[in-house]
Parts: sequence; C-alpha cells; structure tokens
Amino acid sequence: MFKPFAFTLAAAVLLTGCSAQSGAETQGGGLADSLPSLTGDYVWTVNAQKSTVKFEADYNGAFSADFSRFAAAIKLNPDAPETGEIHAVVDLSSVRADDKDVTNNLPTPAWFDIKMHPVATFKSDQISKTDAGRFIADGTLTLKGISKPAALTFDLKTDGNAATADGNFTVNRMDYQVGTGSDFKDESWVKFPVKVSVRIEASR
Amino acid sequence: MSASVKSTYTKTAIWLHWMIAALIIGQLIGGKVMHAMDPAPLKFELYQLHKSFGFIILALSVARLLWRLGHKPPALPDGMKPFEKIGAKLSHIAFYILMIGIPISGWVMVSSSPYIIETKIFKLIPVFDLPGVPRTEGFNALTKDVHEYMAIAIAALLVLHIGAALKHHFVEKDDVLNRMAPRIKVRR
Repeated sequence: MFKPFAFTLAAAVLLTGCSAQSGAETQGGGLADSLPSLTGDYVWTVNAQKSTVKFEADYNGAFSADFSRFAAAIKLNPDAPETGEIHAVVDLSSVRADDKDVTNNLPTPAWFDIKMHPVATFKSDQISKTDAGRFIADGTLTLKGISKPAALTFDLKTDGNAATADGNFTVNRMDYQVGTGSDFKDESWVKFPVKVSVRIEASR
Repeated sequence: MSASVKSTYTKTAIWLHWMIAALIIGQLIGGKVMHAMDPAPLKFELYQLHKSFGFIILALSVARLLWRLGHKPPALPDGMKPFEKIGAKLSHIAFYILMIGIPISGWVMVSSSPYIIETKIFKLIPVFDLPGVPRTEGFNALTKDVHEYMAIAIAALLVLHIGAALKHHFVEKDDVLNRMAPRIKVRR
C-alpha cells in the first residue's frame, strides 16, 4: 500500500530542498520562511543532509559546483501529479565550486550578484507524469531578478513513506545575465549551457 | 693581475643583472604573445606564469637595488663626455624604476580586476591582492594602460642600453661590457 502513493517529488531544481544546516529535518531557517506552508497527505519533508543541488558548467573545461543551503516545499501525489506543487529556494551565497577562482567569482555582480539577488527560486506551474516513475515540473526559475520558464524532469522512486528524486534541467546562463562583461558575454571562456541537477531525499 | 677592486661589478651584481635581463626579455615577449592569444586554457596558464615571473623580477630587482645601495659600482670610463655619463646614470635610474614599477603595476592590475583570480607564484606561493585598490573596470583599464606603456618604455630603454653597451665595446673599445660579463675564468 505504500508504494503507490508516496512519493515525492522532490524536486527542486536549482533550488530545492531544505536547509543544509545540521538538523536534517529542519527546513532551512530564513530560507524556508519564503516558502508556502503546504498541507495534505502528500506533503514531503526534505532530508537536507541527503539532498543535493548542484550545477555543471564549462570554464576551461567542465567543473561542478553545489549549494549547501536550500529549502523546498513539496506536495506531490505520484498518482495525481497535477495536484502537486514544488516551491524551492536556494541561497546563492552557499555555492562552492571545485575551482576556488570560480567559487570566489560567482557571488560578484558579473555572475550571481548576490548582494542584489541573494536567492534563486523555482516554482512549479504544472506537474505531469511523462513515463513510469518519470515526471516533469513546468515552472518558473528566477535568478538574478530574471524569471523564465524552466522544466524540471525527474525520476522518482518511493519506498514506503520515503522517496528519492533525481532531476535536472539545463539553462542558458545568458538568459539570466549570469556572466556579464566583455570576457564572458560570449562562450570563449565560459560556455552558455549550465546543467542544474538535484537529488532530493524526502519522507512524509 | 690587474687592478683595482672596483674595476668590475661584484659577482652578485653580475648574476642579478643577467638573471633579471633574461626574465625581462621573456616577460616582454610572453606578455605580447599571451595578450594576442584567443581565449583558451593555455592563455590562462600563460597569464598565471607571467604573474609568477613578474613577482620573481620584483623580488630580484628589490634585492638588486639594495645590493646596489651597499656596493658602489665601478666608475664609468674617463673618456666619456659629461652628458654621456649623465645619460648613463639616468638610464640606470630609469631601469630601476621600471624593474620595480612594472611588476607593481601588474600587481595593482591584478588587485583591481573585477575578476577575482587567485595569484599563486608557480601555483605554490599565494600572493595577496593589494588592499585599498578599487576593484572597478575603469580603474582596472587604467592600470592595464600603465603596465603596457611602462613595458614599452623598458623595451625602448633596453634597446638604448644594449646599443650603448655595444658601442662601448666595439667603438670605444673600453671595458664597460666586459666588466658586466659573466665571470668566466679567462684572462685576455
């Protein structure tokens, strides 16, 4: 009886999830305050410590970076995905790349400009099932004050009241004015596509 | 053997002279090449290398200046006209200003860049960005111009310096070039 229902969607796109502070089940402090309080049987609580939000891009070769602070409010009944919602927020200042120069530059005005725009958000408009265990959340990604449509596809696995979702979407960084200035307005140093991946573990 | 203790430069001065000379010529050529390159990982590496050698030149030049202040160089040949002696002195002062000033202008450039790229000499020794330097595109552009014009100036000075040394050696036939030549155990 558990199988069929539960699941999460966890999704989050660039943004999801729960805070990475220590208490695993704690929704991230101030971050979570900006999320709606969802109610119902299919509201999922994200396990922040086991969830990740990261992206891969190319600067002098591929690199990856992850965000340690994010929060999400997720409601999803896998059997009725159209009733679900995903709201996620990511603290952009929590970014860490595997290249120190990248980590140092991302918060600056040419990139995330975190003083002006400290968070990125994703909000789903429509969640639908595309295949067995596979869903798509069409929604809006807001980054650096710019909102554009984004579609998060994710695979969902559930086990009783626990669920795991692996999803991703790819954005063009220039759609969000990430990487401005003469050196970055083209792809000579930093490629345009950025693949955002999320892995969410949640329970209900 | 001949003569006075002051007939030649000290070994230290000679070593510093040729070491710095080789590095400056390398930096002038390397700077030109890397600047003209299209963006690529190699271009990035060359800039990091250029920064590394710049700090080496800065350290050696400061050491050389300190050495120079403590060790009087051999006198210029008596045959030189007063204005030639003044010219030689001025060109040497200009060299010291540029040898120290160009690396510092590069350091200011790096410190004012809107891009935060860590400076690590040969990827080993971290160097801090100079404090109090405005990190703006406008100021950064100015520092790039200053660095470039100083490099052009030292290239011009180099031509003058080499020309003068050759003139001393082949035209005046004095010992000006020889006394800065690397000490090889050979006597004429």
